[in-house]
Amino acid sequence: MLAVNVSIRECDPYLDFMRPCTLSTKFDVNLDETGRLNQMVRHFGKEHGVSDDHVFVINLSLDELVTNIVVHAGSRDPKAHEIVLRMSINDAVVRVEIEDDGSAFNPLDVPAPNLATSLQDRDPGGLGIHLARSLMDGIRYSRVGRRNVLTLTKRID
Amino acid sequence: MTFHQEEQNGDITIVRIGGQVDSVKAVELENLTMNLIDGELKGLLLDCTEMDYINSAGLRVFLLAAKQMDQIGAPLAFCGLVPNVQMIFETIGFDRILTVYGSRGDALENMRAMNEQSA
Repeated sequence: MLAVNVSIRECDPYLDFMRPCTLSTKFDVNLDETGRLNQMVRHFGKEHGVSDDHVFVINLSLDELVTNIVVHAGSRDPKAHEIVLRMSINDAVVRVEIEDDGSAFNPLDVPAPNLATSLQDRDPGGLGIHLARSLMDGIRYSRVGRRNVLTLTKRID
Repeated sequence: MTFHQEEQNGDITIVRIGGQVDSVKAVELENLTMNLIDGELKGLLLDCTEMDYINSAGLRVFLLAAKQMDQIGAPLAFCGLVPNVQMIFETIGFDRILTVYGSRGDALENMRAMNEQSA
């Protein structure tokens, strides 16, 4: 089963004082979906005049967090069956919610990697979460009912 | 993602990595890179000039390759990182443990000098 629904509302300079530009879509829980996620974020950024550099860091952060949900899905009970992404721009702040229906899982609990060790002692784990935390202005985790919700913000001015 | 092994340049094997390295392509990158690394390899240069995206799955492969080359005792270096990729390397401290050169010419010159010193 592939994507269920995609809605992209074009920006309107007059209406957007009232309503933010938003995108909302569902993803299946598999790694192939991260490619589609990247395309959508790039498209969204282009449509709304977000700079390539900001698109890059937002894209990478979302990729890391969604990849993390997919990779850990198998070891969780109940496991995640769908990922919902909501993205909006308001007052030069991009805000993204990533929601999944798996058991409670807070990726922000993952300890930060030790960046000061020698090459042979470097552990490749935890790099993705570290990147997302470093590149976004804020990431918050909450458990809402039976869903995990990550809320990310990034200023783009 | 593209992965082109070029003609051997003296002692150094050069691979051009291009396009997008995401969680799916990282598996392919790992297979191609680790298959290339054996005891015969005298030096490996990964030219990333055309690579405009990489996530932690791909970065993990770079780390594994660097550890493997370190054990073999042959130099591994990167060149041509685009600014955003350079920024990621710095964010995760890869600039401290991996060898990164601006241009391919710089990289080859330094890697040859290292090989001559150790010969």
